Amino acid sequence: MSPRSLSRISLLVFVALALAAVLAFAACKDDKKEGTTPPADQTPAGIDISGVPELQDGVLNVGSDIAYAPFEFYIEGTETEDGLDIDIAKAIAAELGVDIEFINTGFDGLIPALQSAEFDILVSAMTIRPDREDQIDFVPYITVGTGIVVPAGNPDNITGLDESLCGLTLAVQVATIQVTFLEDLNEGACADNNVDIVTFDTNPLAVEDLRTGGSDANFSDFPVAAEDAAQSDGELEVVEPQIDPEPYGIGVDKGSTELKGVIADALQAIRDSGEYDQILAKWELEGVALQ
Amino acid sequence: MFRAVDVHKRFGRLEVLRGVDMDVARGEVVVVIGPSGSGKTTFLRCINHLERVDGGKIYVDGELVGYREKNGRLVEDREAEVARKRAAIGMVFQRFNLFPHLTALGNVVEAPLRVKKLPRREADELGRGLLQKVGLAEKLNAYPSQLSGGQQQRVAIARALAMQPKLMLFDEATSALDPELVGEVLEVMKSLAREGMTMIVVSHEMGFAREVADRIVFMDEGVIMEEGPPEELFTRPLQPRTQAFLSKIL
Amino acid sequence: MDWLLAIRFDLDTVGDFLFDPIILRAMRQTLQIAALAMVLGVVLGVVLAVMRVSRNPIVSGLAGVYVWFWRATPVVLQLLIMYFGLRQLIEDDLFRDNWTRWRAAVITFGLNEAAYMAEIVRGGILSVESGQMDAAKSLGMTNLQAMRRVILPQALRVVVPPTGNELIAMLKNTSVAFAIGVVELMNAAKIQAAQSFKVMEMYTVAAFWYLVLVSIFSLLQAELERALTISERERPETLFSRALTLMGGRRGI
Repeated sequence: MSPRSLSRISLLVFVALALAAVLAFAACKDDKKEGTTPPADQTPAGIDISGVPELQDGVLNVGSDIAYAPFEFYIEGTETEDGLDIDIAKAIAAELGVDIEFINTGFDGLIPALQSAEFDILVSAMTIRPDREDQIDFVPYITVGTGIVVPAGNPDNITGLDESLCGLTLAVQVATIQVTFLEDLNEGACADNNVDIVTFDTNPLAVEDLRTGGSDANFSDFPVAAEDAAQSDGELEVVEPQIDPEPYGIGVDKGSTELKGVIADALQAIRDSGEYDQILAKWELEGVALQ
Repeated sequence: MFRAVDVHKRFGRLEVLRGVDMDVARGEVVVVIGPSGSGKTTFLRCINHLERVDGGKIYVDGELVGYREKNGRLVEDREAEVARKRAAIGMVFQRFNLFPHLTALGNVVEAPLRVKKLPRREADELGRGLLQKVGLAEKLNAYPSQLSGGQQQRVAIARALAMQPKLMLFDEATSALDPELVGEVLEVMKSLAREGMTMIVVSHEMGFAREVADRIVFMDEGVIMEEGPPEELFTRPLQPRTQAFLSKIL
Repeated sequence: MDWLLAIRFDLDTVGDFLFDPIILRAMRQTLQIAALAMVLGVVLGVVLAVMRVSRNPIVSGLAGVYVWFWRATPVVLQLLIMYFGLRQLIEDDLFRDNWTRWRAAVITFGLNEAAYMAEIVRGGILSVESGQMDAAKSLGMTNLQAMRRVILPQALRVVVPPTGNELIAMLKNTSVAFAIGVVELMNAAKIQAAQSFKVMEMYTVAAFWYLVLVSIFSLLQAELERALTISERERPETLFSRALTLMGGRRGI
């Protein structure tokens, strides 16, 4: 190859790479613009957000592990978020008169990300727990218990979070409260015959493990468990009733007292206006209303 | 015992061998000379089927090497057959091609051990004997990188002889050597000739040719131009091209 | 210097977990998976490489397709297909009982690695000068004999450095096995981080052990390269060999 054609090819390669870099950067910038403007007929309920530093940019940034139907998930084949948590978050943002943006984050990384201000709040079906409360503050918004998904017919005769689980293989999502439940069980009722806890990054993978026979049961939040069972074409079922209902919280960083205040106010506003009940009814989850 | 009939060989569009005929009797030493590009090395490589021929036939001891006759056509042999026939033909290369990860003795006994499946002791004995014959008895355990060029080539000759070939091919065996090392290799080749080995030698060493060759063959542009006993060819070449070539090198 | 106070890092946690049995057990998983997968990958890779350089178009074509497929898809996808995918397709109990996530991980990593090793070994084979094959063949060796006794041993020297690289990459890639529920070093740390909220501390523990493992392997690789160099002049010095010299004489090592 002659020197001239070689340098011409090099030039072409350089231009192509530069073009690619510019395009990638441009695409990046667009990502940030996703959000929903609150509907015009919803007037903010008079909540003053001028003293809230995180909302001065006019956007409520919400962190969530968007793979947990019916709480948060992507509509099949799209990049549009939907779910109970999503709707409640949107309603709150509307009350505060700000735009909303969701940042999909692995569940186990949510609290650290909130603490390093990658988003303003987290709404991700997170149970309020003492060890979590050491790290961040919560505004309770619903009450949910744990659900157990098993193969149809419950072949291992699981009755609940008890000895019926001893010796079985359970699939759970990393960092969830369900992991803690099972570890406690292994120190208590199943001390001689431990539960084999298999953890996954996301709950759908854990359900997949159950479906393909790698695990005997899957633990998650009851509404999620019920949803997974309903979607399984009869392969899976959920064990009734839901276990240990506990309040779930909207997470706020410990220093953000003003933000916590206005979030609580907004939540109260939508409960007063009946919008809260409407959202729960839409998802057929009246049972998780805050006690 | 060696016969080549109308051998043709092409590389792409370049025809390197354009109908080579040659006969070599048992015990005969034939030295092939000619300008570079004349096809000498290619011809040698066709003999032991390192290259495929595009036309013609080559017989070693009555057998075709690398091919079988099937319904009057030439069909390429199975690999095991080709390997077997190759074992009867020894080849010494310009660049020695010793196995660098084996000692001198290791090089010599490798093929007898793996191909002929000789027991270790027999192979070792054979190897020692051959290395002694080429004058390298004290270098049994040396690696090629520790040997001079002349020593390496002598090991290469011993290695080829270890398979007890009926025919030995030498492809410019001394061309890559420093002048002072050429002699020791030529000595080995001469003694081989004296012992009655059938040899086809491609070489520029005219002194060696004069001394040892039964016949000189002059190749040019893919064919044999002229051949004859060394005295006749060197002093009274018939073809003008032979004359031109000889005048350059003699 | 006020910002120093803003750093939240609990050194005690690092100390506690550095030798914690959960972490050590997970590290053993990492090593086991990496080692077994590497063995499978190297062996199969050599076979594939020899197939690739074959003159038989079917043989080299088959190997080519294998390499193309396993290099084109991400490992995590391969894991998901090999484990979840196969288990979904094959409902047979005997299969499901034996096709555990651990075995699936080792085999998938091994098959994947074989594709990369095939190219590395092929490069090594091609780097051996053609005269070697000529000499071997002229002595009556078959292609396979020549490969085994002459070509591959020489290719070894060229193959060791990139193979060492692959092993180190494999050590780290095992973390991807978490997708099918296999917990090894990185994810053991991740799980502990999630439970304790001591994120940076746990990741420090994991990073420490990866550094240790990779360092050990690098040293071993250097020694291997040194041992494989036949010519005295080209032989590289390693930390170890220099230390030996310092301690007084080498006596031909």
